[in-house]
Amino acid sequence: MLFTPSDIKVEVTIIRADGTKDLLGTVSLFNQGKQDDHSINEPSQE
Amino acid sequence: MITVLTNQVRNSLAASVLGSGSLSIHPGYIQWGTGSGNASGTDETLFNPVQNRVACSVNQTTTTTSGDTVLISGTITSTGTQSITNVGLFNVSGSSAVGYLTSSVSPYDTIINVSGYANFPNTYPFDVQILSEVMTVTTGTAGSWTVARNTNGSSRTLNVIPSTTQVVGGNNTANGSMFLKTSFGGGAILNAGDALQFKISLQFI
Repeated sequence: MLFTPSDIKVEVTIIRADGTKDLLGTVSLFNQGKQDDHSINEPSQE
Repeated sequence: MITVLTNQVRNSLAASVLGSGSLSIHPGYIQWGTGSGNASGTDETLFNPVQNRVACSVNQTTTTTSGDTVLISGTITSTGTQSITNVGLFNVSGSSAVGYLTSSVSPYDTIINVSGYANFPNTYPFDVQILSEVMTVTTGTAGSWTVARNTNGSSRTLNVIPSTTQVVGGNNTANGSMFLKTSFGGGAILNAGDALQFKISLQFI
């Protein structure tokens, strides 16, 4: 194989107007549904 | 959270690797939407796009070996209280044309009636997306289009699509081409001044 994308990741973070941040979720295209760190309404553990 | 590379980008990436083409969709702008639906590779645009597109920073960076990653990042700030359900990455800064059905559409109809007709191109063909189905408009007159159904690999909508359903411009419109789309199942509820930051990394080995 000439060319293998090893991973494509999307990370979404909410930044509230007061500056607080909360990770909304991350997802890897090559592991669909397996690497979600947080569901949409689940508070971040960070 | 669901993220997909669009069919168009998959084709373009594969062609560029084989030397038979080049990547024709250079991602650089993000926009979000408030409509419902799950992102699919056949999508050409957002579910109910709102607010203007925002330019992203696009850089070649290193994750494992030198320069192995394209990192795209951008932040959109909400202008009011809204529930964001989907985000798309596009190659142009312009926004999608939007119209609304003025009559319902049955599963095998090939004539659709649309308001906001003037927002769309007056040359054919061009694509529109209604819910998750892409249709190619082949000809038309004011307020009425002839369409090919379930194009770009999308599935035909098997229920009657109600009047007033939103019609969004797809390929060959000001929409440009969508590189990637993410949908959130429950929506992210934002107030004015809240923002979403997106970091998209494409790493190659």
